[in-house]
Amino acid sequence: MKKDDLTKGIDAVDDDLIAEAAGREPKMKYSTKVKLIRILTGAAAVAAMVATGFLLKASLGKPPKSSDPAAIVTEGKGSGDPEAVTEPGTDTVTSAVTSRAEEYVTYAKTTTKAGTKTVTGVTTVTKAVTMPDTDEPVTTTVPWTEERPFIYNGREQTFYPPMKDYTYPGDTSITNVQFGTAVLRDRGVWVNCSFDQADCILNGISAFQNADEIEDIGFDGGGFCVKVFYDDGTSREYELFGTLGLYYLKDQDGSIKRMKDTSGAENELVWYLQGEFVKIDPYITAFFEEKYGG
Amino acid sequence: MDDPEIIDLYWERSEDAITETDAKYKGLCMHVANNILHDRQDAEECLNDTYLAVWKAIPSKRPKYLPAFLCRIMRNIALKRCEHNSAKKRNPEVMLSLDELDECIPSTEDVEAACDAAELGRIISSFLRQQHKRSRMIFLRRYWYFDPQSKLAEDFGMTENAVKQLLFRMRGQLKEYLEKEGL
Repeated sequence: MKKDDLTKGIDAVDDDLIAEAAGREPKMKYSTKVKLIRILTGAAAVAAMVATGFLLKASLGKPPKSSDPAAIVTEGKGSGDPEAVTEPGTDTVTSAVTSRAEEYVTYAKTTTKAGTKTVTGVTTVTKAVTMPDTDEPVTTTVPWTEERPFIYNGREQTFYPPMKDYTYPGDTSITNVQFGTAVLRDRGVWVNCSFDQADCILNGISAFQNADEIEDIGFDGGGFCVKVFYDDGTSREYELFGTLGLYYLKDQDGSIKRMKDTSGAENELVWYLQGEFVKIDPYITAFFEEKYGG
Repeated sequence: MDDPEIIDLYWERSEDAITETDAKYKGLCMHVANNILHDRQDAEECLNDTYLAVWKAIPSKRPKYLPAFLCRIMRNIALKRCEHNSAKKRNPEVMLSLDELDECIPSTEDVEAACDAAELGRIISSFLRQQHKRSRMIFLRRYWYFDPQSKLAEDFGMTENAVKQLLFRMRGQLKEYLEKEGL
């Protein structure tokens, strides 16, 4: 191929892409006023989500039992016992009322552990249950789709039990919620999460990876730090640094880990952090900050 | 006025079509031409040529994306004007942008192998559709619209260095993609 061919090829890119590029992408930088509004609305959102988190914790303290006539898995791998939700597949939930069916689905999304069997790389519910709030039994299908395995340190990771059974480090209790958005502010990126635990693992990876700004922070000869804030006021920092093809991650305790996937250090960092997140809480606010320039 | 209404005016052979096009898209067209020519007078002449070309082309065409249709014509006319201008008047930004694309050329043995532009356009479009919206916008703003990296950094709220790195990565990915496609 010659250069002329390539330029002609770019000339011939589809019209819809050309039109799209002519559109105006919102700037990622904000005025002080907007920042203030965002901070205020963010605080309100966090407060609401904290409350929601408590409610969820309270309602999801235990899984819906199959003996409860309000939510029964009538078909699929979870048949007869919601706690048997361990594998990708399709479950049919029969429920008299919406709330119980949704509770089941939420539980199924949240937990991945049943008995002694721990399932890895599972599943996300891709279709929300919407059921009329009626006294008549209603059947709905909960599809499962297999997602990429969650790998950390070169081995497949298991999901952990619900967060209330696990504390790390110490007895931090994190309820800071807001995810799926990444906002570039000056030289850093805020990434917040509002997914439940399973979604945090699976979708959170995408949320991180979809944040272009993270990729845009330079790696060549540079690095950046990630600061995880807990709602008790403490925080923990991780620092990624290195040169092309060789990256290290320094934990706050000073330990340094060599990144194995040198071609995708960003991904490995994400997975590493996800591993940390799983241990502590699905609700995380992380601040990605350029450390050395890139 | 909506684009379909403007296109209808062209089909009706109403000169209001030009007025409405000018009102809505003059800025965009001038942006394209200025990026290439860096000369306001040249750009305005190209704009008039573009309006004439569009007037002749519609009908029989009914473009689905009017801004893309306009920009494509404007770009071609401006690039031809650029070629005809003396070398010293050539816009270094365009040359620089085109030079960057060298990195995308697959290292095939048959360097003379001819590629059909339309087919290549389809493949590049396919590659771009796999990218994040923001990334492909930046890519096209650089290599189709010839926007300077500093302008992209400003428009997208990034550092210039981040824009450079993003484009560098995308060029590498495009090269790999083209090689996978057997080009």
